[in-house]
Amino acid sequence: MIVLHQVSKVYPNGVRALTDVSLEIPERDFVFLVGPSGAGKSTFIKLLIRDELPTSGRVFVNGQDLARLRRSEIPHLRRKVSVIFQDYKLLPNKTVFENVAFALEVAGHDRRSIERLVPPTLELVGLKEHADRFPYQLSGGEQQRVAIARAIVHKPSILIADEPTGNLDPATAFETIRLLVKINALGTTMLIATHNRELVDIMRRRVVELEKGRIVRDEVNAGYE
Amino acid sequence: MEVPAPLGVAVRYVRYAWVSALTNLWRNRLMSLAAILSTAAMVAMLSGFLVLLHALHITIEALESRVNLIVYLRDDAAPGEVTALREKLLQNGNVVRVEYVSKEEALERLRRDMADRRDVLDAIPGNPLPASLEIWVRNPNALSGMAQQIRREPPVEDLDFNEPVVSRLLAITNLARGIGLLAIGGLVVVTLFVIMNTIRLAVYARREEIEIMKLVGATDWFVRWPFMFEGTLCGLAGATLAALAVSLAYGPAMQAFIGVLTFLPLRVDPWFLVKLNVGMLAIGAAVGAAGSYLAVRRFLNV
Repeated sequence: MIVLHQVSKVYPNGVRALTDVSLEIPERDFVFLVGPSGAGKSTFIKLLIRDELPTSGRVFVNGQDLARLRRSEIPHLRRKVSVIFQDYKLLPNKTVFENVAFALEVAGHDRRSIERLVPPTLELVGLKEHADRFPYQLSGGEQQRVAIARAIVHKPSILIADEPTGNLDPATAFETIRLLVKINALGTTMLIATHNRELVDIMRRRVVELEKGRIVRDEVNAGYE
Repeated sequence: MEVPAPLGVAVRYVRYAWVSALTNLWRNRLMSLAAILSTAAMVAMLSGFLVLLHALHITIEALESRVNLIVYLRDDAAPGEVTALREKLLQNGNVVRVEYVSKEEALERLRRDMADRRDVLDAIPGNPLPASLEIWVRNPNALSGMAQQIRREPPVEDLDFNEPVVSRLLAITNLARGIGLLAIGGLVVVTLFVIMNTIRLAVYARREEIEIMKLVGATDWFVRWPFMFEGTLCGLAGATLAALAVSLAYGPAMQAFIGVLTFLPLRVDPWFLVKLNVGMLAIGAAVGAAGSYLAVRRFLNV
């Protein structure tokens, strides 16, 4: 559950990224965040993982006011709110398995729980056979699925995707989105920031459109425009 | 969300951090070596300086334990006169102790001191040595004034006093301490910077990994520990090198020092070297840890 209440964000250099944004995303929702570059999508995401704090207004994730989060609690927030990026952010010197296991290691899981949690996650994203490969041996779509596996292996309640299909061809992009739909169906709230007009039009989901830092449209069963 | 058990987590953190630290040290071995050597130089200088201070300290101690003023008494002085003088001296606020040494005792002492020159002693007829009062004072600087007064007392034949060398030595020690501390302070800062830069390179090489760690929910300390270990290891290694060098040089240096000052009853602390080395290892480790902490700090705000 994500709640933004009259949120504005002005960066120290004076750039006004978001203006008076109020929004509610209930659990298990599937939301496309659309809008041109510079509309405020990235800032929106940074606020949700407490990478930035709003200049005014309040952001709640699972009922928690992020402005009141202590610094030491941020890691725990990020285990509940996972993010994937356009550039995957995989570690090149680790195998697929190790990349996914990394998220668990960082949270202090032991070998046994890693052995228990990683294989089903790799199976879910369809990479079980590629567990021992390195990222450079994989296609872009496969790399993005490794990133997705890493993002969901500790079972977060919310998954945020920042332009997940930005580097993918249309067919692969569609497959990636289908995977995200599947993960959403298993109970994870999904927020996808994207430029990909075709996908949004095909999926017919809730669409929140940002323009110059303001929400100009919030529609269910909607298309890109 | 799955939550793992805390104790196992701690054990795994430590193991993980050590492995990362050693890997980093090896990957940046040139910078690591520079950090280790500059720590060694700093610690060695600090040690040498402390050894010097210790030597000055025991010298002062030995000098302070010496008699400050000896009043030789006339052979014909009446015992009542001597007692009166002793009482008078004890009234002086600067006098700590007055000890009477008879003619016989004086001769006995001379025999003891010159045991290997019996022939000279035997050649002396009777007992030419005077009785004396040995006086210890609080402030050696006032000695010459006191001597002037005592010289006028009736039973006094002559007197002898040690130059206020102690206060001069104290002044030298204080000066040495001041200059030394300043130099050491500079060295500590330089070492801190070298270690900081070493660790910063290691951090920079792994910034992508750190960014990802933070994104998938690593705590600050999870990110920090490997680098803290690395810096601490550099500091410890440098301090160990210095401790070895200082330990090798310490024995001969102290021998030489005692050799020069054989006339003083020097009391060298037998544990000094051990205490010194333990302290230096601790300082090396502390500087290493502090340097790494500072190096990682700015990278943590992901």
